Amino acid sequence: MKTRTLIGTALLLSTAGLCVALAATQIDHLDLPFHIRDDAARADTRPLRLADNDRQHERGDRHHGRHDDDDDDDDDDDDDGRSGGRPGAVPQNGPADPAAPVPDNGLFQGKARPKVEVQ
Amino acid sequence: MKFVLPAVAATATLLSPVLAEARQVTFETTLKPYGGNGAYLVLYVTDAAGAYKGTLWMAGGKAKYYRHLSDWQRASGGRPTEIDGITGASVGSGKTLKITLDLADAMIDAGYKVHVDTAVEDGMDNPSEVVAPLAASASGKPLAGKGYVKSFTVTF
Repeated sequence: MKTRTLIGTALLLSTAGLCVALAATQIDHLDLPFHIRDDAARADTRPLRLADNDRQHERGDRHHGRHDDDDDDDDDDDDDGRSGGRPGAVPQNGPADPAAPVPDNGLFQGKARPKVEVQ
Repeated sequence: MKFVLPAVAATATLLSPVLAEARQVTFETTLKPYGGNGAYLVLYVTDAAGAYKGTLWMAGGKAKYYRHLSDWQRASGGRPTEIDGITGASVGSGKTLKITLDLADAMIDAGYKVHVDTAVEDGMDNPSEVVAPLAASASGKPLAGKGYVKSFTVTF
């Protein structure tokens, strides 16, 4: 009887110790608001994805299949009316300003905007 | 009256270098009928040493896809300021994008080249799929692309 009690107590104590250890590793994370935790999780995973992407690009700069960012956000360009995605994307670099003056790169003499037609 | 002719001559002399500095150039890019989403394509210029000089036009409005135009991205750094004011819609399958602009005269026959990068969602990325010299001798001669570009013509 004494032996059984000792074994039971030992099991309970070791389980409790394990729980405390696990909780200690998560406690910082749990204290953070949801959006910060989400960002932290993304920060952990993003470099891996980018590294994969970079490797794919270096492998040939030419590949078939879905683009990597399709999963992030499918708000498709519908510039030509062939839309198929969801709205609400945030551009990575920020939108280019179509009303801005042409860049001062020495190519545009007189700063005139190019005339563009799609036929 | 006797002052009019010298005045006109002087004005013409002053204006002529300004007018002679630019030449109207047309870049015509015809895509193959590949049947997918609109193609992103970018036209940009490199100098004789292969160094990036500047972008002429970006077709495609979502910045997140620009990294698929990988040669342009690498050369330009992908900065939005490179394409502010010279960005338009992507180009549909089988369509022709025609761009006309006044190009600095000094860039013609000076070793500069026009590059065209293309990319299509669910499709291929084609960095520098066309590289055309900015040379009078190449004017009006169509070049075929390696990917989505059926023909690319520079006309002076």
